[in-house]
Amino acid sequence: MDILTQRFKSGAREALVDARLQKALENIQRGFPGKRAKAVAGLPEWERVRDHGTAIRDHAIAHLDTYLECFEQQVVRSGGQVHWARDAAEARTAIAGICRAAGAKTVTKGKSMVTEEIGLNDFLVEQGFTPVETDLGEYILQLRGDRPSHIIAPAIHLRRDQIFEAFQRHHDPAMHANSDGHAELQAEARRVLRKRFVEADVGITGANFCIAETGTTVIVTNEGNGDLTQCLPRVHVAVAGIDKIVPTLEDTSTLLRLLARSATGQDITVYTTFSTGPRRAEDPDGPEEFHVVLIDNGRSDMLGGELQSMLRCIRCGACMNHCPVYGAIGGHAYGWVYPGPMGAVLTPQMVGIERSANLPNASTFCGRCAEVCPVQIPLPDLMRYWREQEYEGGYQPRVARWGLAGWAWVARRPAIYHRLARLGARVLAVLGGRTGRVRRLPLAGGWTAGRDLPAPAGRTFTDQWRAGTRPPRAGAARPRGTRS
Amino acid sequence: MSTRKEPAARPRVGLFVTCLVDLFRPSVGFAAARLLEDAGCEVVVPEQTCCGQPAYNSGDRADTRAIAVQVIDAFAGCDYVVVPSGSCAGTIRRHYPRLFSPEHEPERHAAAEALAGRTRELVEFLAGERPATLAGVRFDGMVTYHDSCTGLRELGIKDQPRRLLRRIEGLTLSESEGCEECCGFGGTFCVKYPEVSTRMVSDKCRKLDASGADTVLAGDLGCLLNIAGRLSREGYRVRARHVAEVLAGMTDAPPIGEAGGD
Amino acid sequence: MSSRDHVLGNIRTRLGRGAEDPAHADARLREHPAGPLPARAVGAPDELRARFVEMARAASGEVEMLADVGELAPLVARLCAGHGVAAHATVSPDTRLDAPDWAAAGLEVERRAGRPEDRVCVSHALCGVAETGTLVLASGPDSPVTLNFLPELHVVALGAGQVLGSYEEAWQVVRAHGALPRTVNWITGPSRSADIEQTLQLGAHGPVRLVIALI
Repeated sequence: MDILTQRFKSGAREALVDARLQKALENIQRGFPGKRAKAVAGLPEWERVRDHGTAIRDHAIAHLDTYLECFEQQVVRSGGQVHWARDAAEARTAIAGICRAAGAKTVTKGKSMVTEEIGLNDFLVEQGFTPVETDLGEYILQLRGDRPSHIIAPAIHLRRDQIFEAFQRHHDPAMHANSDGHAELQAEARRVLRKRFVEADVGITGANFCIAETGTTVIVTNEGNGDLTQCLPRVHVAVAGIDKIVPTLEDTSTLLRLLARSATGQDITVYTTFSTGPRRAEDPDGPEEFHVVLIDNGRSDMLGGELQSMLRCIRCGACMNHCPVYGAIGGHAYGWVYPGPMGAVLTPQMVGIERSANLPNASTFCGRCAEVCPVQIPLPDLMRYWREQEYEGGYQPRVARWGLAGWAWVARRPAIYHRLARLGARVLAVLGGRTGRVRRLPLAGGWTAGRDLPAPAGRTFTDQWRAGTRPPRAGAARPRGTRS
Repeated sequence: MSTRKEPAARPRVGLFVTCLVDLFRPSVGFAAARLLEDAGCEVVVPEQTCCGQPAYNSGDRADTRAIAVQVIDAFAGCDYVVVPSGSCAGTIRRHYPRLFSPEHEPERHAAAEALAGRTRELVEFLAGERPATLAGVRFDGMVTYHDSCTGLRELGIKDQPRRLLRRIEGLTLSESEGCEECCGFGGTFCVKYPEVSTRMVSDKCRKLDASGADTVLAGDLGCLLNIAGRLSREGYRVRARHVAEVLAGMTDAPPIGEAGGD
Repeated sequence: MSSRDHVLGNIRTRLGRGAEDPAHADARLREHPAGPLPARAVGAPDELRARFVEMARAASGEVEMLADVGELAPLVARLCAGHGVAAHATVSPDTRLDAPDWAAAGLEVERRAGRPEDRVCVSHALCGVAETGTLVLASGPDSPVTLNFLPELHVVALGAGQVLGSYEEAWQVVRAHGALPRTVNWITGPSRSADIEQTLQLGAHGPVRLVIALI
């Protein structure tokens, strides 16, 4: 996917005044947090399960190489093939190679953020294949030439009329429901995609987890599209980041208890499917070939440093659902595949901090993301890490860097600091005048554009304390000059 | 380090007023001092400027460390460091120890840990170790409390201010929808991303107003300056004060952003 | 250096070590310890059955209690009529589904894998999980996967005695059958999507209706 992370500020500004998007974003803020809270409350063991899930992820990460080798062994033993990809280009080439070897034309796809990360669809089209997204949200985006704005609900920024319009434009009129009702739109999509499922030669899915014990890839869906994608075609390709490794079936069960509750507030998704190898000799259906493409693309570089805990991520989306910044601007402003808090940490790793510094900076560190993360990733700390990298790398805008350096220089010299504070207090008090607030302040336009600046009364605390001034107790005689 | 008296008798509390209080609203510092004295503490105000959070959150670790060393040294002789701000208290308590490596700078790290262990947010302190007397304190009106993010999520401050406020005569407490939602201040965030920040503070002000309260209280002046500034820009009736002022019975001075003496 | 070596090599370098003794992983893989089990996954058999039914219905599944497998045929016939489709069903070759007298119930039945035009399919589950009302189906020579996803109406037979408490117990059952099959499906309710304006709509790509016949 094209990297538009540098457009963050303008993207955010546009998003704030996009009435249709704002209405759609309300759906997130009204819906997801409440649903998650309810699901969590419905599992009294939540914190223990969360601790265990976190420990599983940390363990798997600490032994990532060993479990990856074990996973590979098991996939091969059950008749599948494993392809390793260092980066996006290798992954794309491997997948296209599988499609070519299969003589494929139509390729159906289940929802997979990693395939967005590697830019698979455009490449497949270039190579002469026809990729068809089957997740309803992704399908709609594909028709519109649009980009996902959320990792779980990719079309959340769209309203019904936009979906209706896309169907009218791209569907065979014989398939048209000619209605923009939710049921009719969904039924129309079902009809159209059913045909695609059946004619596909290769089905590509992601993998929520890769189980080392058995060489199994797991997908969770509500629609059933991932299943039709993988059981109908001759070839099934599962694409996964190397961080998806989980040791055992039991470990996966714990993580599954965390995933749906955190993502949509369901106890479990409608379909959780465990795929191990191709069809067996006597199976009546299923793919004849099973391939797993394991992708690194910057993940292994996160090991051994402060970012290691980010590899725990199970891609639930809870962080963005609870983020006030995401809630105000939506996912497109983040400019790439991964939005919200998790995107603010992953994106700089994958596209470079020099291009994406806005993402970890556009946060108040309110901490809600870390609070709801099912695997306790300290997201604000990781965003701060990226700010440090930005600072060390000299990528901060010059004015900001100078302002900061100035502040720090003064703060380290108390005598100068107090003199400047004294001056500042007096100046602001004068500017505040009779109202006690400043409406316009050059150099602080960012503040005063949106709000008044309450003015100080005139003397700093330090000066008053050192002078021995103390406010009288209530009811005592009042010093001259104060209001009663 | 000099030997100290038994802390239980009359603890020596170093008041860290914060740079915003020092500049914008000294009355909060005086209210904090009053509350601490009434709770039986000896209050001192060591030389201080800033806790270093602006540098820290901007990725400037070197300056943060230098400022932290200043603070650690200045407050070395205190039994407690009390701060009328969740975010500054959180910086000292949760983040100072992380600035110094236990392997490479064990002494500095130990000193940071020691200071962190003695640091409290004001309301937390007054609801915990040194109970506030609140004798004769009165505040007439309906109040709603804004939970500042760091205080809430890093220090677990939620119940404490409400427990104390409920003891005040004349005061009724009304919870706002979304009282735990960020107000959009976030230090430099509000000037780097002003439109997003303005949206967040607008949402906050609307919800505060909808609570029916005439006063919003919080434990962080950063939040309060932000909220008060938007309340007045939008013409809401709600006024803002720091919770310390109300707890100390020092509400003669105008609310934040209104004219008059200090 | 192959990509594989490169990736594994980088992992090891970053973790500050060389290839490790597989024993680190072997123990966990061999013993596959379970994590904390929720209270809702624990109970006496009749409690678990009741919970299974409750959770399955909460997920928009329908549950019919049958006295014996013979009642399955009339049930399917009734469902076809109610759903407005012809009395035709594709039934899994599972031998447990030989017993019902399909013809007597007026049903035309084919024992095979699913096809896109199938509107009603009947499968047999391996077991059920009470904690979330989940059906566990495993692919095999007599157990096609396509029956689970192609029809509009999916009927799944489940023995009441096969209702377990937790996912972990279900894995024990699966393991008892040997190596994992091509597909293990956990199914909880009918297919749905909320991708259109976050409004929940049943019947996205999989079945619109899921009927569990608890025998």
